[in-house]
Amino acid sequence: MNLSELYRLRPLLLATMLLILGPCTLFAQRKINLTKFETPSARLVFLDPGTSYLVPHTVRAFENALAFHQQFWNYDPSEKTNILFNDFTDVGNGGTMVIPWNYLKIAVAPFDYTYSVVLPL
Amino acid sequence: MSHELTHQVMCDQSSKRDRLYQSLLGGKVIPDNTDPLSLIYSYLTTPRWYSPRWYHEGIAVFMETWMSGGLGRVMGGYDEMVFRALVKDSAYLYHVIGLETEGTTIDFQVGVNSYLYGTRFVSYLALKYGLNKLQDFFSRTDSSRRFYAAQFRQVYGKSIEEEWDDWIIWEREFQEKNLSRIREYPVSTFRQVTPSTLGSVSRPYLDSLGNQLIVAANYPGKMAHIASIDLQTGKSKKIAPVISPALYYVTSLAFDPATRTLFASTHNQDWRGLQSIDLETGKTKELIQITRCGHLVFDQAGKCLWGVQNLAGRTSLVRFKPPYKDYQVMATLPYGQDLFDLDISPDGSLISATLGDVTGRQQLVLIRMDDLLKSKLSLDTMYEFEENPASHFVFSPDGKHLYGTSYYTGVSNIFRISLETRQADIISNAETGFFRPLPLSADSLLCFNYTHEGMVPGIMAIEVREDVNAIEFLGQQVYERHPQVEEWALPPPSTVNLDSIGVTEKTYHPMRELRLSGAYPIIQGYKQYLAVGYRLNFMDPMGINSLNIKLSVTPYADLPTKQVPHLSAEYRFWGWTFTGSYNYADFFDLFGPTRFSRAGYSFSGKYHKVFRNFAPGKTELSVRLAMYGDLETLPDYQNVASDFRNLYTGYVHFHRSRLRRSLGAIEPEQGYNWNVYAITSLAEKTFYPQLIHNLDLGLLLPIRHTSLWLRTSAGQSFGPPDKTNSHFYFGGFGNNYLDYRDIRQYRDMASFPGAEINELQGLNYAKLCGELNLPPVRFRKLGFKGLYATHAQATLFGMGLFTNMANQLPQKTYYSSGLQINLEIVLFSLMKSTFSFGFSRAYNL
Repeated sequence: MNLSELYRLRPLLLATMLLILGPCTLFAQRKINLTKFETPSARLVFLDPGTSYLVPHTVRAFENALAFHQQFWNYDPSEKTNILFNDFTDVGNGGTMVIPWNYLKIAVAPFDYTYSVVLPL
Repeated sequence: MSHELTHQVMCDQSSKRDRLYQSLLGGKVIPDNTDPLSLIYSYLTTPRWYSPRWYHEGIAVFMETWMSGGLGRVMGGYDEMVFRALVKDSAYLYHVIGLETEGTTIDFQVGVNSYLYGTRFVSYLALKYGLNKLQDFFSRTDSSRRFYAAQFRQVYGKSIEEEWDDWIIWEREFQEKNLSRIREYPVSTFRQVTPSTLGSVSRPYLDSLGNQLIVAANYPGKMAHIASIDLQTGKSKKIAPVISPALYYVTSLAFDPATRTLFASTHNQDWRGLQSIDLETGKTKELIQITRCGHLVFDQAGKCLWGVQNLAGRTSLVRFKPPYKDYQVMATLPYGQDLFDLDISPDGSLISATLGDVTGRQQLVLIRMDDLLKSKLSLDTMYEFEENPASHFVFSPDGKHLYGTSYYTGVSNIFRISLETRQADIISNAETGFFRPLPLSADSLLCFNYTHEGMVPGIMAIEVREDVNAIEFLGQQVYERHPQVEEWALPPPSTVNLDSIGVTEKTYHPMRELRLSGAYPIIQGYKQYLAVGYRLNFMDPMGINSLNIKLSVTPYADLPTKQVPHLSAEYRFWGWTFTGSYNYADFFDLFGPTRFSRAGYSFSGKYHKVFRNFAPGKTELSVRLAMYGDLETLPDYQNVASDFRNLYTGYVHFHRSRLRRSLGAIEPEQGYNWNVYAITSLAEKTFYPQLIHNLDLGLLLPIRHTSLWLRTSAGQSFGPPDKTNSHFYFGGFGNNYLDYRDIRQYRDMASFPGAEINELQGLNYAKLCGELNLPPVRFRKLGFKGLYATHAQATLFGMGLFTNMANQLPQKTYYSSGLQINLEIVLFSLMKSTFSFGFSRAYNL
């Protein structure tokens, strides 16, 4: 096949490209093995099966704290809280986002206790 | 969990009006710089998100402390020490705006100052005005004010600046009283070794050969490094860089004096690895890429390296045998118990460590090496510090004592514990705090004294103190005046019955979870016209995939009918991005000469792969294919008419960089940034290949936050010279008057300040740019609470452009020099934008 024949087939090539790329994303989605642990107030998602033993404890800690906040602040959450539970770093930390969804990121590693800036809880 | 959930509560609470905006705008709107109206919508739907960081962290730490039964930073010795040191050193305490503009950048603690100041101010408010008013201040109700400062005035009847000033006066008095309490007993004298502070420091070691202190340090204006410091003269010599330092421990450091080898943890903000450093030459060698270990210590007797590994929430003791290319997990602790600050006795028979648990209890423990080598973990409690932090315990050279620090009196003092009697002696009376003791002999030790600018090494005598005074804690006063905080303590999580709540466990499918997250009106620019339209955002709860659709129209008669509607859509999933557009319009075309809007339609697919690497290193590869139809101008060059109506393009882009910045820097100050593009377009049976190579090299100069950069770019086109597609085009600063992109667009390959946009062209080119970034000027108070300037920075640059080298077209050389001054402005505490002023002149056009 010469170049002019190839050029003539460009709509077909484009369609083929899209047909390939679309399933690629679906395949990529299947490759990402995410598990969600859901309660009426939280959706906890985790990647690493090695951390799954902490999931019930984390959900309990969340429900425990949420019950206090609801009563103390008269707080009615706008939606479920999404929690990404991860082991991406060697030092424990957390992050919060509320836009567009309520989202907490919890790293399960122990805190850095240098100088006792952060106290063990 | 209490801390993070407090952030959510503070921002997710809403008034009736917030909820009305949320229903009108499709939810809590994500601010998107490409559509600046979304910033206003975001503020209207989630106003309290747009409060300063001290506000968020202050209440989160306050709630976390009391919800944990008084265990937390409100009752923390470190926080007390920070403010005691500021008062002792007669240092500046930042005011409410200055904290955000300068206070979180100027010293070694950078962003942590938001936590420190916020916690202090919130605790002070609780103490002075009570808990009900504090609750009112942080609540978002129908009668509350949207902006945090307006809400403060409504609740407390005065401005937040006035109250902040009152707090500073109160804080100085409070800390003076604590200093007086400490000074009732003789304070420890301390011979300072270095003339200035070292900021944060790692565990220190003594190199007895040269009477040198070896330590890693990190402070503003200088890249983190491992240094040897002469204990007599205080002169410091850099041994090796710490490429990715941790904020407080810098790097985990161990020393083998026999081979004069240092071991250090690498990529300390990620999964850590291990490297060795030759003390004589400074040569580093990567031993293991990922160990996830810290608290390294070398066993001189057994010639092994030991450390603590953090994996899946648990800590383990691990051993590295020579040649230190592998490790062995010797024992793992149950979840909820952490071991840290390891040391090994000189004879190698004992390991000491601090053991902390979830109740806040801390103990100094001993582990018998013989047991551990049989994988038996038996923890022998040497000393119980109860709920007082204990750290940095190390063996004395004779192995009879352990020296370390504890906030037992509220002040971090040095303790000596006898292995024989297990009796603890306090051997210092610090005004601020002593850390990381290193016994030098039977009667002297080296330690670090905390100052408001960081740690200072010094030598002090070992003298047992009969008595020292405890200090008062602000948190204790809050508790005594408002004992109801005790009722905030949460019951144990184990009291929550998951079965009664109802739980399910399933696979998370990001695409199935895609849902509407925002829908709002937008305005855009199309050519020289205004377009009005609507934008729809979809996103799954974890943010793994998103879809944005923009629709607008330009209702003007002098455009062809088919150019009246505008559509663009972008779908992202992990590394994949798909876009489509029809008469693409762009908000920023309304504000300046650079135009992104294009007639015609386009489709593209892009895959972006980030390779496993560790900060500050970055390695990425992108592949993009696109098609364009009904083109008027070239997709990348707004002023160049396209020779073809239809065009297909593709590129492969490889990027690698290692860009470092010292604490407090506003942008990278040292390193390299390397980009290679292989591009081609295809039109009417002809390919137009191009290659571009960009390499930037930067160096931090001795003047704080001043850097010098050499930026290079070279390109070669392989297409026919008579077609516009074949050429590279240059010209203009590249910025619009209002712009969301990097403010220093003159660094872009296609910019050439002083020439008109796309004015210069060539089939090949080489571009060289020298750039001097001057230190930023930070403003302590320039503006108001809702709108203030943070800093201004000037950059000088000069560049040369050489085109059509060694081809049949006339060779051209152009020069340009200029100045750009950037002024960063912050709206509603979080929305950053930059006013940029530039002047340049081009020569030889």
